Amino acid sequence: MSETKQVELTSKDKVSFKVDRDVILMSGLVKDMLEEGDEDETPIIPIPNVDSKPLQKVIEYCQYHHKEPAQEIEKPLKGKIEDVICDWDKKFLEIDQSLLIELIMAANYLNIKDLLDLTCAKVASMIKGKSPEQIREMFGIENDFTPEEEAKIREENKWCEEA
Amino acid sequence: MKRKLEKKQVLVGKKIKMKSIELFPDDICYEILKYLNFQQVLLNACKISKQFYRISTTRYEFTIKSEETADDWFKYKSIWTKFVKYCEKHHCPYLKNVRTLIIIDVLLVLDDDEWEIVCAMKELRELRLEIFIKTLENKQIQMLAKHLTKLEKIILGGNVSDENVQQFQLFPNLTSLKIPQGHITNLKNIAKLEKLTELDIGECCDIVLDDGLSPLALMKNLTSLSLSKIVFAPEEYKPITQLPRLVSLDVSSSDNTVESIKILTSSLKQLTIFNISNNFLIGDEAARLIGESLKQLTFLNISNTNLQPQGVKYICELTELRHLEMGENQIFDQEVVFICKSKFSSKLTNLDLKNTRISKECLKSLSTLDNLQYLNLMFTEIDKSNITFPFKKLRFLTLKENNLDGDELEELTNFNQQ
Repeated sequence: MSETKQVELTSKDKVSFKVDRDVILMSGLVKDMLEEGDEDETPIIPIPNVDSKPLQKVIEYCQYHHKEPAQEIEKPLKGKIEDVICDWDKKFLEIDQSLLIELIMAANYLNIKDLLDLTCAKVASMIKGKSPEQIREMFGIENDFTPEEEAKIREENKWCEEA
Repeated sequence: MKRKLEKKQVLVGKKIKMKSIELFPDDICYEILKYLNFQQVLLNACKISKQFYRISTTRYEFTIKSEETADDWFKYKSIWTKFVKYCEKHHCPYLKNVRTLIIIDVLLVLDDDEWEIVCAMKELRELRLEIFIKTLENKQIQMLAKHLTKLEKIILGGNVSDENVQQFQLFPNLTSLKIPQGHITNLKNIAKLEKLTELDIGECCDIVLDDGLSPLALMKNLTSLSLSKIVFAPEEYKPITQLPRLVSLDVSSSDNTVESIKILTSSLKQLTIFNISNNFLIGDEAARLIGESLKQLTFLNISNTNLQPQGVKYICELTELRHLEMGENQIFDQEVVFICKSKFSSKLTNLDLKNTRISKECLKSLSTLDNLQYLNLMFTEIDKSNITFPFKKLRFLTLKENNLDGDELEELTNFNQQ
């Protein structure tokens, strides 16, 4: 019986994860790297931009969704994200905000489109219905507009205020 | 998709800001904005920071959708009106970002200035105007074609004439044309639109069939065709049976007979989407022809076709169906059991059984459909069931107009909360 081929991923904080090759091929970045390497080796792939915690979540996502392809999420979201994703994804997204941010960065870096879509939709769902001030506070964003610039944008977008 | 994180953006952040969306590159911010509608973007997201403002005004693709609804007509009408007023007053930074314009408002009449605003949407890909167009002037289409060179999809409701159709050749990138309820008298001009892959001429009741459908035989790129609510004799369908890429066909509400279905199914074996609903004359024999010939079907609407239990058995011979509508037919619990044991049962995501004779006895079988997301059981004979719905993926269930009181409905529709 032939063994499943594996790949070793090393995170930014030097933690190694052994993952089935088929699973991690969901990452466009890893796929490209594997195509360049020798087929017979068990490759060690450094992931220097991703810490072990988000990397572990990424692997968890790939392990589930390489067998159960993710469903496309509607754009724009009509309701809450929880209404349009499967139970597994709902549970998967029960994470703190900082890990969610890291996960988005990791999905982008590793080029995993479905995971990037899911996590970006989650952030959009968090933004929805909130004022700019609330959004800034929630994500720790500095307001870099001058009062004049803010007034100009308000005027620009007045037309859709009651829409 | 190759959007690699830029190294700079990771390294320049101070520790305290490492986990803020402030450090997201533009590509990620843009991905987030795509999940918000244009009101949410303009009223909130674009005011978050200069980065979000820049992406909102330069990259976010707007869909301006103004829709008449029965309950709040004025509110929706105002989206377009306000947008127009704004554009007239200011140099609108968003016009170039509008990719889709949808105005569904039967009482709205676009004046010259408003046509000009539409023409200023240079990046428009989809234009859907279901508005009051007494006469669509050729010069209006010419003006659109001159400015909207990237337009790929046009949907115009009402009063499109033969002459108008001729003008559509001016759009170099047009691949989809839907002109339901148009007043066209032949298909020669439409057939000249060689790039079309999608064509909907449903309800074009004025078609005078000198040439019948024969001009369409030239449209070798056509993948989707709707001839809904137009009546053809069986042999008149022959020209479209030679279309090599046609995978989606709608011949609903067209008084079709078994002979028509025979001609279509014997040649168009590549069909994946087939709508033959509201044809009362076809019944089980049509179902047999479909089950035997259209093995690649993923979507079938066979509602209101005088389908009997034997016909359901034929449909159950299909293997790839994801979407099945068979309401308003003589279907009982036993037929639901057949569907649930069919070769396509594990793939089925949408099932519509409205206005059939099914009862609570079939609910258990239905709950074995693991991938079902949409289930319509309106106007059936389901009463108090005392069973739960262990559906894994169901997102939509309607049980309205059954013999159930409020509490029972709530009990049954609580499936998603578990």
